[in-house]
Amino acid sequence: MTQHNNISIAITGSGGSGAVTAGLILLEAMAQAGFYGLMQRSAGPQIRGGESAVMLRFADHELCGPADVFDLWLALDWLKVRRFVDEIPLHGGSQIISDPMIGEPPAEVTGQQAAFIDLSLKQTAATVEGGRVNMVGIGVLAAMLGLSVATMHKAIQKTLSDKGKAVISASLAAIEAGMRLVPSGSVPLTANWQVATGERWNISGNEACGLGALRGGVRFVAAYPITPASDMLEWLAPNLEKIGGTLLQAEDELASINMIVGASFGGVASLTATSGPGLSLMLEGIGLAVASETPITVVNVMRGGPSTGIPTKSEQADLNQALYGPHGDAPHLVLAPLGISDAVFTTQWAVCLAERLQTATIVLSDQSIGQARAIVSPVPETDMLCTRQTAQDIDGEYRRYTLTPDGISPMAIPGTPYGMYTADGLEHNEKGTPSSMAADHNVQLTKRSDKLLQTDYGEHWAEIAADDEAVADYLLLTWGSVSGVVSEGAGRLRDQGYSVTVVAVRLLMPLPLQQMKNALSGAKKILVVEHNYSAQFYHYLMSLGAIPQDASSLARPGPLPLRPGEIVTTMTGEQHE
Amino acid sequence: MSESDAVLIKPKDYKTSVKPIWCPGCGDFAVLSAITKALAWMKLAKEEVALISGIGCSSRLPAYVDSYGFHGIHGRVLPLAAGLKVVRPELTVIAAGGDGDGYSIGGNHFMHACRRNIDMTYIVMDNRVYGMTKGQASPTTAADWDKSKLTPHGTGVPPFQPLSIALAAGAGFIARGFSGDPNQMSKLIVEAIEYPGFALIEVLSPCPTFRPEQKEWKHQVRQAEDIPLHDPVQAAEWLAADDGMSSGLIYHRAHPVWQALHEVGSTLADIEQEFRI
Amino acid sequence: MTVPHIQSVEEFIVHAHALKCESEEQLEMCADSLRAHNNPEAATVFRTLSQMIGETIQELEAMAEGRELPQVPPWDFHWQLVDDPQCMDEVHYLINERKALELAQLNEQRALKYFQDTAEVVTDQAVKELAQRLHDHEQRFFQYIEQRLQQLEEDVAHHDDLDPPNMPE
Repeated sequence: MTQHNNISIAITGSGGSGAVTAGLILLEAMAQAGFYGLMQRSAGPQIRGGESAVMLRFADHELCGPADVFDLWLALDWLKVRRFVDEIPLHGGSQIISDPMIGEPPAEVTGQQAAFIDLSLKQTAATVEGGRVNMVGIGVLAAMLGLSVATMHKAIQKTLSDKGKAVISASLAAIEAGMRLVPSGSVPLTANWQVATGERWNISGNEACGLGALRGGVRFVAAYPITPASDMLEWLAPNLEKIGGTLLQAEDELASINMIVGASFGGVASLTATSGPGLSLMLEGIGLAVASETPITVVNVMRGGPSTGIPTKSEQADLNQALYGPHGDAPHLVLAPLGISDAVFTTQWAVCLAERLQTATIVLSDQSIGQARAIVSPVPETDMLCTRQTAQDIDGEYRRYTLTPDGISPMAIPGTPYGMYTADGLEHNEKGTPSSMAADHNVQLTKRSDKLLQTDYGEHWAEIAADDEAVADYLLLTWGSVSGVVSEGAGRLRDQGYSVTVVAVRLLMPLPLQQMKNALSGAKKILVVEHNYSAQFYHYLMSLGAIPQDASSLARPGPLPLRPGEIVTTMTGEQHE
Repeated sequence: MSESDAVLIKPKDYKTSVKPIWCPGCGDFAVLSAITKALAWMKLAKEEVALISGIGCSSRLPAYVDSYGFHGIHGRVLPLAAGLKVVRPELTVIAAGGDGDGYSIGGNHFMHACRRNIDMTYIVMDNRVYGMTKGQASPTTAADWDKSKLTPHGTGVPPFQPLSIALAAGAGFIARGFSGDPNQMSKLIVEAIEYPGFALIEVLSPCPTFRPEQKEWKHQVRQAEDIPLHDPVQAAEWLAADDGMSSGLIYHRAHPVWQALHEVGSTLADIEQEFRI
Repeated sequence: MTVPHIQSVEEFIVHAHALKCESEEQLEMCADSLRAHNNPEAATVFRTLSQMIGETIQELEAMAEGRELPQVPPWDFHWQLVDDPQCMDEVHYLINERKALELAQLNEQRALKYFQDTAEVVTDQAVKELAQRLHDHEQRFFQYIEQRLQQLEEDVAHHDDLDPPNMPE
C-alpha cells in the first residue's frame, strides 16, 4: 500500500548560488537523521553560472522515484527559473520559501496556488562572516524538517570535508542562523516518521553501476567523457586503481569500445560507459565483440535524444538502438536497471552474462538514475556465475569457435600455450579462419544466437509484484528507470481497490517470452509504460507477440519525468488530485 | 646469448598453415617474412606474442603468424592493441595494417597512439592505395594519381605525411622499411619491439595489382646514412627534406611510457565503506 | 656480392641455412599465392622446387646437431643485397609453368654464386668441401629446371588479364 510519510522539496538557483551543494547537504543530513531520500537534478547547458534545480524527496522508507508534486520549494533566485518551472509541479498546499529581496517571481510561479514564505535569507546570511544564502536556506528547511543542529554538523562535516575549516564553520553558522528563522515550537514535518536503525548507503546511480561493474569482475574500463555518464567514470578511475584495475581515457568512443574488446581478448572483464551519441559511435565495435565472441559490457546512461538532444535530462529513447543498433544479425544482451540500488545488481549481472556467454551486453541506465543520488539500504552482494570459460592444457588442434551443446566455446587467453588463434570480425569457421561459405555462416550465426536463447536467465529477468488475486484488473508493464514511478502508481491504484500487477523488465533482450506470457496471463487491462516519444518498448513487445493486441501504451518523452499520478489517471481515466 | 640458445633460427616455425590471400608479388609477403624472422631471432614464445590488425589487405597478416591475433574492424587496430597491452603488459603486442586503415579511417587513433606512448610496435604497410576495395586513392597517394575511377582527376589533395605527423604527435621511434629488404626490416622490427614505447615502422610495400609502377621502388629506395636522429627539430627538418624513399631507423628518443598505476591493498569491501552513512 | 669471410664450418652452416631458408620461403610464398589464386600448375612448380631446397635445409640442420653455432641476426648475413632478384618480385597470378621455372632459376642465382664464391675463396678445407657440396646441390637444382624447361613447349604469347580485380572487403 502507499506509504504516506514523504515530502518533496525543490531547491533552485542560478550557478554559484549553491543549490546543488545545498541538496547534497540536506540529503546527507536526512540520512544522518535516520531517513531515506532521493535527489535528482536538472541543469541548464552552462558549465558554470547556469540555472540548476535539485529535486529532493525524503521518506521513512526507501523511495523509488519522484512524487507528483513538490511540497516545498526553496528558491535562491528567480533567474531563468522558467527553464524548469514545469519540472516543479506544485499543489495547493505547497510552500515557496524565498527572500523578497531577490525580486518578483515570474508569472509561471505566482500563477500556481502555492503559498509564499517570505524570509530575509540575504540579510541573515550577511550577519554571518562568510555566510551564504544557500546555507541559510538549508537551515530553514532543516528546522522545518525537525533536524537537529548536531545532525547538521555531521552532514556538513561529511559533505564539505575538503573545503577547509573556515568554510565549514561559516556554513554551520549560516545554517544555524537559518534554523532560527523558523519559529520555535512549529511541528516538524517528520514528526511521526519512523527512524531507521539499520545501516544505509548514500549512493548515486552512476556509482551504483560502477560498483556493480567491480563486483562483476571488471578490471578495465576505457571511456570518453560524456554527460551524463562521466561521473561513473570519475568514480571508477580511482576505485579501479585501488583493486588493481585500470581506467584509460580514450580519444573517442570508437577507441574506447575497441580498447575494451582488446582488453577482454586479453582475459580481463572490461566495460565502457557512455550516453546516446557515444553508443552510436560504438555500434560497429559492439558488433565486433559479438562476432568475435569477446565479452564486453557497455553502460549507456541515456539522455534526451536524438543527436546531441538534451544532454542533462533523462529519457528512455535509446532502446531501439540498443536492441537493433549493430548491423547484421548480431545477437547480444540488453539489460536495464530498475532504479539506483538495482543498478548495482543489474550491472553486475550484465558483466557476468557477458563473461559467461562471451558476447556484448548493453546496460540501459539513464540520467534519472545515473545523476540521481539516494539514501538506500545497503545493496548486498549477490552470488552469480561470472566465470568465463577458458581453454587450458590444450592438447591437439585448438578451435576457438568450436561447436558445443551450449554454444559456448572455451576461449584461449593470450599466454596460453598451444592456444594461438586469430579472433575475427570476418565470418569464420570453427577454427577462426575467415570463411564466406554459407555453411560456416549458418553454423556460426546459429551458435551465436542459440547460446543466448538456450540460457536460463532465472527469475531476475523481471521484478513482478502481483496481488493475491488470481487475475489482476490492471497489469503495468514497464522497464528500467520508470519502474519505481510505476510501482508507486500501482500502490495508489491498489489503495483505490484495484488488483494490480507490475512487471518491471530487467532483461530486455533476449526477452524470456514464455515467462513474460505467464506473467501477463489473464490480466484484464495491460498498460506498457516508458519514457520516450515513440513507444519503443511497446512496439518491441508487439513485434515479439509478447503482449496482446489490446494492450495500451503510455509513452511520453523527457525531459519531464513520468510521475505516479500519471500512471493512475491513464489507467483509470480519472483526474488525479 | 646463452649457449643453450645457440640453435638455427627457423622463421618458418612462426607461420601458420593459413595461406595468404595476397596477390602474387605483393610487398606484404616480405613483411610477413620480416616479422617471423624478428620473432625467431628474439626467440619469443608464440603464446606471448599478439598481432593485432584492422581491415585491408595487409590487415590479414595476423592469421598468417603463429601467435595470438585479432583481426578487428577498419581503422581501430591501435585502440584494440592498446586495450590488450594495458591489461597484459608482459605480452609483445604488434599492431599491423595499411595506409588507409591507419592514416585515414584510423587517423585520430594514430595521432593519439603516438602521444599516449603505450609500449607496442605499429607496422604500416603503405602501398598508397586501397587494395581491398579495388584501387582507390589512399591518404598517402600523390595528388595527381588519376588511375582510380573514384578520383578521375587525381585527389587534388597533398599526401598525408605519416612520419612527420608521428613526430609532431610525440612518437619516439620512427622508422621506414622496405619490402624489398626484409632483413633490414626484421632489424627495425626487433629494435621496435625492444623500444619501450610506441614504435612506428612505415613499410613501403608495393601493390603489384593497382600500383604496378611501384615495382620501381626497388631502384629508388636507399638506406639512409645520417640516421637515427635524436633531436625532434633535426628530425622534422630531415623528414621535410626527404623524398620518402630513405629507409632505416630515422628517429629514436626516449619518452615516458604510458603505464597503468595501481595502489594495491584495497578490497571491494573497503570501497563500499564510502557509501555508508 | 662481397666475398664472404667464413671462418668455420659452424659459421658457414648458419649462413648456408639462412640462405636456403630464404630461397625456400620465396618459392613457398609463390606456391602459396599461386595456389590461392587458382593457378595450380605454376604453384606445383614452385612447391616441387621448394621441397628440393627443403632437403638441403634438412641436411644442414642435421649437420648442425651438436655443434656450437654462432648466432647471426637476419640482417648480418654477408650475402644479402636488396637488388638480388627474387621470384616473388616478378610473379604474376597468371604465369605459366615455363615462367615459374624461369623465376625459380632467377631466384636461385644468389645461392649458386654464393656457394661457388665461398668454395673458391675460403682456406678452411672443411668449409671448402661443404661449399662445394652445396654448390653441387645447386647445380642439380638448375639441371632439373633445365630438363623441365626442355620438356615444355615454346612459350606462347602472354594473354592479357581480362578479369577485373575483386572487392573482397
